[in-house]
Amino acid sequence: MKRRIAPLQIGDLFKSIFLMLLLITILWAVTSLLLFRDILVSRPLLVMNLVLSLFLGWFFYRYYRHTIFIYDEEGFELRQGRRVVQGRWKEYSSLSLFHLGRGDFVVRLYRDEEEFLDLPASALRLDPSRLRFEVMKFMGKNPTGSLNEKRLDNFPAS
Amino acid sequence: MEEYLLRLEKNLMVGSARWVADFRESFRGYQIEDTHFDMMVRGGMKIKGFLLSRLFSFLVMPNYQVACFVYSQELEASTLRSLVRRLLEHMKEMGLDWAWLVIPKEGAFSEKVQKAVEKIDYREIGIALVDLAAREVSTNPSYVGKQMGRHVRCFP
Repeated sequence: MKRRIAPLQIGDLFKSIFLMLLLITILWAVTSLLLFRDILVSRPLLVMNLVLSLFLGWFFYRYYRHTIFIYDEEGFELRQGRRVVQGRWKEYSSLSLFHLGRGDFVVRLYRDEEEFLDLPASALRLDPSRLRFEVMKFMGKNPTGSLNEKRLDNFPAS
Repeated sequence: MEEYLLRLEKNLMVGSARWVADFRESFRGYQIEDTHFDMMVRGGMKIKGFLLSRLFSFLVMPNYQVACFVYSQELEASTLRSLVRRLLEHMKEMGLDWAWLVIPKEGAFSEKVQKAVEKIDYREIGIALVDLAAREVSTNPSYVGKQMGRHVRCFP
């Protein structure tokens, strides 16, 4: 049975909104300077900028940042914005747990020594270690024999 | 054992061992020829930080490649010596500057193994015998060995 993981990535959404607010503010400042030879600032304008950046930020996030991960025992589909990667677990030869920094983990799937694909476990709000062991099982790799549930829990807090 | 491995992995990647090196990638079931390691965590000594710490790391820290190997199978003193030799060869192939070898066990190690560890004094390798039952750690006398003691002491 296919499992679909698609949580709202709040951090990415805020970054998108902030980026849009910054762009709109710069754009307004330049336009205002060219048209009125002054940077016009007023409360209604600020509210309009905020509403517009919320709207544009949401679309930017949906089209470029939102991550959806669908998988089962056979393979997976990873959508990051409009970019879609599909694969079968057996196509990959090994995997690792990779720390990107600040507690952000990915499960790195290696096709060979050089080519790899990252499954953003922390961004998907999955337990990175649990996902790693689950994928190892799908790939037919069992590191130490019995794969009990206890050892999958709570590593590392993301 | 599994719980210890998880704790050790966590301590290396996001715990106290980050003060020593940036262990960023962990492999389970790592194979070197016919030797099976339960875990291998690799990284470097250029620690990524924010502004000042990044600048400090860039200017001061050497760009050493490092790793921590965990081997939990039963071993004799002679096996240990050949394991270390194999590890040293592998380190050369991988371009690793220093490595830790952690040997955890649910019980006491034989005297022969303990003496063998005390005699191994390679500069680039640190060995820790971890007795999970008695919650004791003994390391080899090299600088890397002495340094690793407190970072592998993460008992369940």
